[in-house]
Amino acid sequence: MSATSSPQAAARRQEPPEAGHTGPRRARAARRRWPSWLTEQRVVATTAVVAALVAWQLVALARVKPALILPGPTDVIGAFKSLFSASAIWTDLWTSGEELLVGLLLATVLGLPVGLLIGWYRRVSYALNPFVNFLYATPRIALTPLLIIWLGIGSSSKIAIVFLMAFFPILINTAQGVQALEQGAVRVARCFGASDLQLFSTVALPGTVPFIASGLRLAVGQALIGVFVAELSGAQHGIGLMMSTAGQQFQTAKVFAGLFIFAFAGVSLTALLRRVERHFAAWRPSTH
Amino acid sequence: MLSTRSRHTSGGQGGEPLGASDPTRRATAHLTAQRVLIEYPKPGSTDVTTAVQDCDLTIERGDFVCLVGPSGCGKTTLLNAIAGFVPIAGGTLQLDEHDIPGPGPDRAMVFQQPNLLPWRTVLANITYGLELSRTMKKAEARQRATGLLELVGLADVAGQYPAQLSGGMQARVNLARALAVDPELLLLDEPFAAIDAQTREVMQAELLRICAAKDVTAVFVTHDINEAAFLADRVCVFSPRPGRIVQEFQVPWERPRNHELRRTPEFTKLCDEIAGTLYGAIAEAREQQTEGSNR
Repeated sequence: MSATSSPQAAARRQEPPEAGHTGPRRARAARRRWPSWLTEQRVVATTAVVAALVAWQLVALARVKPALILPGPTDVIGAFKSLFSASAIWTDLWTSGEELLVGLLLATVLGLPVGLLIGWYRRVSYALNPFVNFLYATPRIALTPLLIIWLGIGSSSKIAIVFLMAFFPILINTAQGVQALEQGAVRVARCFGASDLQLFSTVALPGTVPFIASGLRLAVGQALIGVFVAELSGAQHGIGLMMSTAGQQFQTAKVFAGLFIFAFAGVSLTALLRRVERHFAAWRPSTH
Repeated sequence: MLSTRSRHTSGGQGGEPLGASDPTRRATAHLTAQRVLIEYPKPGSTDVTTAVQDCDLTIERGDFVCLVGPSGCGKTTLLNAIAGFVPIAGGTLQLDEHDIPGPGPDRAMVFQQPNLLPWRTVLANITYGLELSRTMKKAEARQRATGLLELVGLADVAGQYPAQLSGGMQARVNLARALAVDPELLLLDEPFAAIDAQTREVMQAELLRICAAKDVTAVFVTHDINEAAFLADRVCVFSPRPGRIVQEFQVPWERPRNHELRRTPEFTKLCDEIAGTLYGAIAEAREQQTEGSNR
């Protein structure tokens, strides 16, 4: 059996060269080098996704259920095409995107400093903890009817809901990060005569960054829930509204298209944040 | 309570104090502690615990003084008071004839844990104190830090993060960071206690070399008699709590010293004498305690 053409040999070549390769095998691997972006992780992940899509398509083609109930991937692609040929989708995208991003931004701008204050000053945490606990334990999405009464069915009520959903993960993680600070580092700073502000900017803030980053990632998920549910309970435009309308009209493929838009927004925001996190956390002993 | 003070300054070891032969060092005492009393509140009550009582200590410029004592005797508390973290409840504690107002950049503390800032590189950790005091331009601070890294033998890891360093290397960075602010008084609180025995011996010799190079005045707290005798010009032995200095030993050998000294009979004899005083003080305190409870 020729080693160069066997599938096992091809799989072996994907491994990093340090993984116990003996001399001749490494030489053979060097002769046909794979591009660096083609890592084992990517190959396996892509294969799995493609397999899942194929399976879905096969089930849909078997027509166990009518296309009205279970559309296949090709139907969803068709739905995407028809969606983006009309202009309404851009209004929906813009509306939902604005609600999501403005809400998230407000939650960050307010949640970060309040979280830092709660973590830093015991008295502030004593004063604010009852409110934080109450609102954190309440399903905040249940405030939607109230916010729509107060703010109307326009964007502002949606932004308020997104804000409420995203605010608490950021606040709580940030406060926890400050409370988990290494007291030794604080003592060193004090010993060098650091002022409160210096202590804050050189110890508290950088030490809290990993916590803030994971709080932001949680917040993205919560914010997306907020956008969707808020639009269900009364809106003029938005992807969530589009999905619910399509659902009522049994345009199932269109519902799937909306779902994928939400998923795409979530995945790309999370990936962006992970990148930011990695940039700030270069000092951490690497875990992968 | 009757205080039984059995304090003999310069306990017959090695004759004249080292400072006496050097006129430039004799000028005035750098740090003076007289009948210092330090108390801290007991948690959950209005009572106070007396950590240090009737403690006298004089340190000249260029001195290297070790404080040894049983654990919990208040030696670290005294060090914290000198650093300005803990207020004194009685007596006087003066630095260049001024009371100590609080923590300041003229005194640098080296803690047992390196406590390096993990998000800063080794070089940025060393410049940290200088950044806080804003007395120096950034480039100048980096230059000084680079020089200190060379002094402690870590020039090649300047760009690495603390998590990538071994315990001994972190201890060196810790020391370099304290030296970076050019302190008048270096306060060391068992800085090598968490390091393995071999590295500790290396670090002790390194510390003496560095102190000689920078002409540092140092107060070094330890529970290790051998370490104290190897490092110090004077070893001050504490009584159990409430701590006071029961005896001072002059260490006669010139600094810096090398490891052969540890193997000499004279060194062993000095260690034995220090240990005798230390354990004697512990036994005496225990006797007093039992007497007190019998009464």
